[in-house]
Amino acid sequence: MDKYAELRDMLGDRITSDRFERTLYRRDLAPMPGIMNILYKGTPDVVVMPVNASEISDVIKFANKHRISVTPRGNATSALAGAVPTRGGIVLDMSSMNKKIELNENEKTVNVDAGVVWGDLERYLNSRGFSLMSYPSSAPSATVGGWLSSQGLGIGTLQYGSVHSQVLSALIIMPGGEIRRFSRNDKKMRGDEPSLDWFLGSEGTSGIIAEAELQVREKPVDTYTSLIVYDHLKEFCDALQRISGLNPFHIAYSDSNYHKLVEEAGYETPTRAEYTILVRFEGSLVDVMKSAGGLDKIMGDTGGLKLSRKAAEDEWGNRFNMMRIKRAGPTLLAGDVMVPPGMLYDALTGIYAELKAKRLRFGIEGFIPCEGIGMIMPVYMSDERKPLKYLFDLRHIRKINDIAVSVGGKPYGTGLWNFPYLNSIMSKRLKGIKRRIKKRLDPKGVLNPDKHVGVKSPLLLLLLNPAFYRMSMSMLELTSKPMDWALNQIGEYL
Amino acid sequence: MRMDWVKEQAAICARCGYCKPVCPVYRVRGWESNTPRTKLFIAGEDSIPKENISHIFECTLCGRCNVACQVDINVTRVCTDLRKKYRSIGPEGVGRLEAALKEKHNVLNQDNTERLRWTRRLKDVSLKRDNARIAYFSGCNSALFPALNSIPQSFVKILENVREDYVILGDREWCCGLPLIALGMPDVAEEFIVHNVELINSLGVESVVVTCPGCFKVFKHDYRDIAGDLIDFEVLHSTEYILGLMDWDKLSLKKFESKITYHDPCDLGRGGGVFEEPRRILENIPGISFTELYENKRDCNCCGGGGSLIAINPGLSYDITKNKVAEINSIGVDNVVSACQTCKKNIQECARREKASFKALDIVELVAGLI
Repeated sequence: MDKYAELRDMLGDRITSDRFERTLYRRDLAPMPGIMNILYKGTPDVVVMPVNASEISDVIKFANKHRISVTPRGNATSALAGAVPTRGGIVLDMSSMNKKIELNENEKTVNVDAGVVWGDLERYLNSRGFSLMSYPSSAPSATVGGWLSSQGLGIGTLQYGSVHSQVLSALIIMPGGEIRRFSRNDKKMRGDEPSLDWFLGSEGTSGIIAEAELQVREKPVDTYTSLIVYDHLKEFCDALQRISGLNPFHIAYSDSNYHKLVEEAGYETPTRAEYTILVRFEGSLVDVMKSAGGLDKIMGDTGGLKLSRKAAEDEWGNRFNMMRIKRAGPTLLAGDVMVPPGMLYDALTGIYAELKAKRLRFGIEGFIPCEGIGMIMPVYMSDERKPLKYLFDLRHIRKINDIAVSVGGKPYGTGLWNFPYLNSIMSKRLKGIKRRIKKRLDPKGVLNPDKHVGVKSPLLLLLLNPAFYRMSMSMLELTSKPMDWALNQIGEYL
Repeated sequence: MRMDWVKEQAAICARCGYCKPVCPVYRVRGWESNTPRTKLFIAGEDSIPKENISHIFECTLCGRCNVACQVDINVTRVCTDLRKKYRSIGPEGVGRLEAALKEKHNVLNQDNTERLRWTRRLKDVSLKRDNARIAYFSGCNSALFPALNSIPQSFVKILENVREDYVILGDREWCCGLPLIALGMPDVAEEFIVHNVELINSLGVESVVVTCPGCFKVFKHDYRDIAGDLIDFEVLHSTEYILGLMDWDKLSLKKFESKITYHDPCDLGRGGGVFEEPRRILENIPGISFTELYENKRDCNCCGGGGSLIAINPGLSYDITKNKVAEINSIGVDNVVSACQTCKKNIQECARREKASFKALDIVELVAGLI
């Protein structure tokens, strides 16, 4: 008997159980070693393409009735498996909810479907003289709902704050199927009453974002982009911290190792200097000029050297293409950690020591997503076609995370794979609140189970238990040398 | 060896999905299996179930994914290589088209002598002029599809108007080979390419001019790859040729008061690098009020006619055209001009059925009509 028959009647050709189709939804950016398939059921039973909130509601009600898990998914541009099922069930492909873009020019707001892609939204707004306040570094494919469900740091958040602060209201499908709009202006409820913030950044575990109303701005009158290079880590870190006080729209950085990988991938790089900072100012002519003056002063104080305007604009043009180095890979493994900017120097020193000691082909890039946070994204090369080697290569991510934690930092986002670091990612109090919210709103645990704050599947719980995770990664570390030797002897197919 | 390259591309794919929102097939179907990144997934697999092979063939090969790809994968090339691998179990339309091409040397499965049909009403068509300066290669669709005959007729009118020294290839011309390459049969295409190259060489012309962007792209790229040493002539698209006439003041046109937009044919723009010539031609026509489409030049949205999709899945092709027609309609123009017979035909027919308020024209029709 087909347990999804009711859904099929309801959705017609917008539900599928085609095996090939379902297979495509079992991963996100990160390739998973085959062994993981025994730990959880990553392939959904069915995939659904909803076109409105009411349909999502019907699917959720059905899921509750039959205790089937539902995993919402945008365009799966993360690598933490936050949009990958762990118990089969239903995947809601929210990228199909991409029709509505309603701009209110007077109020400077835009109401959009959750499946609208950020890049498309920005282009739409630009054509009408408006602009987003922030967008993710994967804007050409990331969906509105996807980024709002994450921690929401990216391009523009340094100037305007986390994208969550730009959400004025959102249409939410509650875990029981109820459709509710939550607004920033809602009267402050008692602590246990749901509010907008319960759903933003919750990785689709407490409700599904169907629509969001965002604050937008007029298209900036003036912009100024600068590319500054440094030869010494200390001055580079000092400069990053000081420049972030100039109210820039965005600051990104990269090192010479990263540029070397860019060249290996067949692309040109702007410089061979050790460290490069890309700064972008957006705003009124006066503000931008003032910031540019401040930038010159900081450069003078810290010994930075400015590259040509063209080099700066080219680098800005490549802000969405961080993964182009994959051509030199083919597989890219990356850490993604946040540290206090005052600790950037210590964190980078530790990460360099670790990655160099392991003789990896690596590079470091990152950005300053808001004052008070430095994002570090060390990337290193592997090859997913050699599963054993790839599995062993994963251990370096744990080291990167540990170094960040040791200086008061944490990994970015939880999803599934950062669950061992949950105690660093959020305070005990916040974790407690989020777990209470989850339990209260979703007592049957149908919505994106095992993600964010609540891994429940037994095997995953074991694997992602911090102590077990630490032990298994240490085992990989201990056995890595003999394994490297063995792999070299046996050949490249393991 | 070639499949090693395909598998390598699969490993390089970042799965970032930048190719997904821009894909015309994904835009109308919406499943992950319709995305270019799924073609890369298939490329990494040793085999896939027969019932899912259609995902390789349901693609217009428009190349927007190539432009969007941050690791610069030539997805359309991966796709045609996969079609080669799976063509024996491909959709029904593939076999039909292959048979027509092998037997009749054209995509419309008509007697190849019918290629001369469009010349019958014309008085002055140069079929057999010796040592002409240029040869006109009409392509299958505009020569054999009656509703498109006005394109070669218009182009010849332009040639006659400027007293060009030209010759047409007529029924000696075979399909350029693009549909065969698109269907994964480069080995069969080679026979067509060599035939056409030897024919054009034998005429001793300086240049061959094509009105079809598909022919243009394949002449520019694949002919060089397959018969590079043999080629003894230059290849021009009609827009390059016409702009040359305008630059030398050989062509003066009447006023045409109309709100116009231009649709970049995939094979001429992204595939052939010709973006500015048609726009400059339109600029040179007095009275035209020009508006760009929302998605234009390298980002222009496909009309649905490429990659032999019409033969493989006409319904899907039509749905893509509907998107295009809606986009054109939304900017409120009187005419959409293209430089491709397939784009013109698809858009025109769909606009009529969907009761859109504009007309579609090929640029040579527009120019010839204003002489």
